[in-house]
Amino acid sequence: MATEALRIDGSQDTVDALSAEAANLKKKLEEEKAKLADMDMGEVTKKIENMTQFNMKARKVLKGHHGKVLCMDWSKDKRHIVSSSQDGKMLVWDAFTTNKEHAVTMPTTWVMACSYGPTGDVVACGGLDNKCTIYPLCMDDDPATKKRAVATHTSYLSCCTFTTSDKQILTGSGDSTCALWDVESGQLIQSFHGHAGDVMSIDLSPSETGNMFVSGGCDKVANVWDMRTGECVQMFEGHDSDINSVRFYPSGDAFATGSDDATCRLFDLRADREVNCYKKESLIFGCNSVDFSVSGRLLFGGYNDYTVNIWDVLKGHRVSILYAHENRVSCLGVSPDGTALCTGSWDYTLKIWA
Amino acid sequence: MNKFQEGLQQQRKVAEQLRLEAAIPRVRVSECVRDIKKYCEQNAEDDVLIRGFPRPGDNPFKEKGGCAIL
Repeated sequence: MATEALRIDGSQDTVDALSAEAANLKKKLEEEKAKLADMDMGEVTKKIENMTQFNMKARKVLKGHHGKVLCMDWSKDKRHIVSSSQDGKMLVWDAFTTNKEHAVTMPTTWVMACSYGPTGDVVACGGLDNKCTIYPLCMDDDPATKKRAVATHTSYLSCCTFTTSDKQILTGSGDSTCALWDVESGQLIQSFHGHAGDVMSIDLSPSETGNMFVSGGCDKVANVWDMRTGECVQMFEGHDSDINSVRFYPSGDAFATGSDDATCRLFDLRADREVNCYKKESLIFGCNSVDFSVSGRLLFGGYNDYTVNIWDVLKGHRVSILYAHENRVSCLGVSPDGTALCTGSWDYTLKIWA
Repeated sequence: MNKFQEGLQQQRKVAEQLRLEAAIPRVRVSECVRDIKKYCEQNAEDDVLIRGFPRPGDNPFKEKGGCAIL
């Protein structure tokens, strides 16, 4: 014991020794991961049939924003959508009828994040105001009368998502941290330090035992965090540019990323590495947003070239392309029951595809 | 904290993170990929964006045809 303590307090704890240890560990990690990469995803999925033509059409166009649509989220009722825009507005839509049910004007432009609470009674949003503000939704009242600022970062709010209840909200920020907040008191419950650049996107693990979330950012790294301890439990590298979007595979075993390097990737938590990369030589524009179909077979990516590319997750091919908008596709999301895809764009509109 | 201490602190964090990562158990890629494939297959029936609705009329987002005159 004494020698151990001496080692840590003494010779080991110098910058040089620590650097050497880090380099050694990095090398070992790479060797270990390479050893377990015994097969390509393509080999395992070779015998699966190609997907037959499927028929997704633009069914609804949601018009009402007077600026670039920056973020959207589905309500658990599979019918309502919240969206936020560069014009400082947050709108709540009935996607069946395209009616606007609530409109909130924020004291800031570039409302980059919005999220629907699990009960459907509350929405949250924020952006260049560095805050996350909660708005209870009530038919009789203007939501703005009951608003409450919950989270404060030292830079812009890039993303937010409620946890399993309306009581806690997780935020990501340009200050390179993520944070978990108590909605009622506005108290910080846990902060997450580890990114070396702006955090752009977060997603909660769908597995019940999870208590985990993934974040992606401008440091090109995706981190997996333990919400209870605040510890970064896994780091995933591979992208050549900013990660704009992260989304868990529906089983919770993997997650997808969309990046400015024009690729989407699939990272597996148990293999602790990238297991597939979705790209095409002709595709040179960045991907802003990704989501899976309910079975996890399709990966939708919203790109800067105004399109949505649909990838076969297993085989790695692009199976279809939606010429979706007249400007960048900034955000997208599959409805909770998997019946529709919603896309939001810098062309000021959102569309429902089903 | 001076610059040297800051550097040391930073390097300590890096080593700490790597020690943590080195200690986690890993599973072979082939096994992980098979599980991903299995999940797709088990849930394929419910994937409306691939299979479509059993009846087109079930699609709540589809414009109902017919009477357009009020």
